[in-house]
Amino acid sequence: MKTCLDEKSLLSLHDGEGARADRSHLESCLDCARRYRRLTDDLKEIVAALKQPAPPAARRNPLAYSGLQWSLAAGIVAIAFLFGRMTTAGTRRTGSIAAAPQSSEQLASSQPPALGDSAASAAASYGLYIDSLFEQQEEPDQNLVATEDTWDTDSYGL
Amino acid sequence: MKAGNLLRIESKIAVDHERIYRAHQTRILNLCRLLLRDTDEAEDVAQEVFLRAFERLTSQEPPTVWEAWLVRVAVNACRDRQRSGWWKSRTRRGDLDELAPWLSSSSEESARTREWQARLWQQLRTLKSKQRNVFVLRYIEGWSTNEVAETLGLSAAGVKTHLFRAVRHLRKAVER
Repeated sequence: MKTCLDEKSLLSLHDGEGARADRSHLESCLDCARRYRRLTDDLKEIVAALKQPAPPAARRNPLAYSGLQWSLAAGIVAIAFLFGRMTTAGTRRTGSIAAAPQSSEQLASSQPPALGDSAASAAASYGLYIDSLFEQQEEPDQNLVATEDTWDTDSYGL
Repeated sequence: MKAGNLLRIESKIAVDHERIYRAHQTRILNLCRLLLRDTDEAEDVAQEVFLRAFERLTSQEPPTVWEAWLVRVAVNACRDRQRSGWWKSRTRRGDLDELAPWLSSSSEESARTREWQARLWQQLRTLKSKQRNVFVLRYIEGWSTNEVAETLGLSAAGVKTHLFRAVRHLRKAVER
């Protein structure tokens, strides 16, 4: 019993690669012969089953795939938001230190700062200059509104 | 005259490619699926293999035995896929095919057979890449130990060890 073959030796014999001593043992030992036959049958069955078309595969949940993409997108959005906040805060802080123009009219009429200024004050001035341009665009032109109203009432005799 | 010849050659290549595709498509797809455990990936790789076959038809001397050539190209393509970092991360996440539950069968015997087949495929899924590659090439494709060792870059002893572990693992599915 001590000399009985292990599974690896049985597999080697099955593949036609075992030692001669192992083969002669297999021919004389009933227990090993039984184990060998079982191994051969199992392998035959496994190979036959795997040669058949594979069973239908359940489709993966698309959410599992997109999980990584979503977290990546959320990360990018969060970084962009934080970067925007930091930039705005930095601009405002430096803007208050720098000599700020008194009113939006003054800003709108002012020219972009010269490149010779220091970097911090130049960035702050640029920020305020751009802000003033936006404010100017958003403010409704009172003269234009009044003119349109007048024209309407006049044309209809109201 | 020259244009006519060219057309004839092109149509011959198309016909040859169609013939090769029809003859080997199922086998190559099954092989890719066995090696990759993922239907979508297997289909991708199989397409890649037949694209290479088409290129081979048009540019070089075609191989004498198409079947062996296709199998070798498919094995290499699957190995390339397995070695990519993206594939490894996917495997770690377990982001591969799950076997669908078998449909209820009419006879009890048939249901039992299907159940153990599903178990076997499940066992194959959980094998390590090297063990699965060795098993598939050695027993499903019928390659010799040396051929497997050469293709997979392993020693003959390494192939035997991986094969033994694969068989031991798969036999668990057969134990009823």
